[in-house]
Amino acid sequence: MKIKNIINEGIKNFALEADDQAVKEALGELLPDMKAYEQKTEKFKKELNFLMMAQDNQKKTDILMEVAKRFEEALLKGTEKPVAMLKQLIASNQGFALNKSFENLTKEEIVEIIKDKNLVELLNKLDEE
Amino acid sequence: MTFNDALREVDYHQLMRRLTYYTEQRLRLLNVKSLQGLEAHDIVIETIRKVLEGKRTWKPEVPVTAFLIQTLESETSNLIRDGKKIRPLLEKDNNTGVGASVDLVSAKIHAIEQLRAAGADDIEIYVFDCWIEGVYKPAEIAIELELDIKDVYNALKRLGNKLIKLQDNEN
Repeated sequence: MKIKNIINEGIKNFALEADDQAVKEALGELLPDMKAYEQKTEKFKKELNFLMMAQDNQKKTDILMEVAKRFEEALLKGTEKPVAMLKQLIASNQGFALNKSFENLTKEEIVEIIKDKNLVELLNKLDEE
Repeated sequence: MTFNDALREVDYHQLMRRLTYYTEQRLRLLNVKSLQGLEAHDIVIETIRKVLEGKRTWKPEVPVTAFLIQTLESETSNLIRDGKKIRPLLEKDNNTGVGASVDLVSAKIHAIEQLRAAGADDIEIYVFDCWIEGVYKPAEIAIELELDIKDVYNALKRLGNKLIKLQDNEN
């Protein structure tokens, strides 16, 4: 193994395994402007939190749309179990009033019915079909 | 668990310090101040962005910090290769066998001579020897050498800086 690779392994392990105080001191000795580093790090933290929140929200929306699509397809085909699940969800959803025939529910109305439910659980139950 | 969930579980500032320290030292080892206009801190930030965008895949069995350091290692190699259109200075060493052992022994002797000339103390030399033997974790080095972990950290810091400078002089 080349010496350069050995050094690389050494600094990698220090970065991974040394306690935070040791890493902090070591970094402080390398950086010419610690204040600039801290400002940039803090700025990126805000960006990171925003990015992750946006991704999580997108994921929730994707799952919501997928579950709604499954129910919509089940209504069209008249598949027993999903239809029964949806009827139960409507019955337990006091905020939703069904003013039309069940079979004519739109995707938007289905979204309204399921949006506050445990979507992952619903998806798993639909997958059991 | 998603990467985002795992990232939320680590201390952000500690993580950034570890990643930036590694990248700073790696750039020094690669004998560059920046890569394609990016300094160490910028490379760390860009790499995390890339992972979030799904350009790098995280496996849940790998701790987040270790994964990001491995990714930084690879990213810096890619940046150097793309920037200079040359092979990375650090690459897999396929040189094995007796010849390779002899090479490593002479390289080790040469490195120790240089370390001594640069003012390395006994602890640094012993720590370097651990590295040659494939013992890298500070806690394992401390056990091996029967030293206090803080002394090992200090020696590692000094050793890393000296070796990187010596490699730089040789280039």
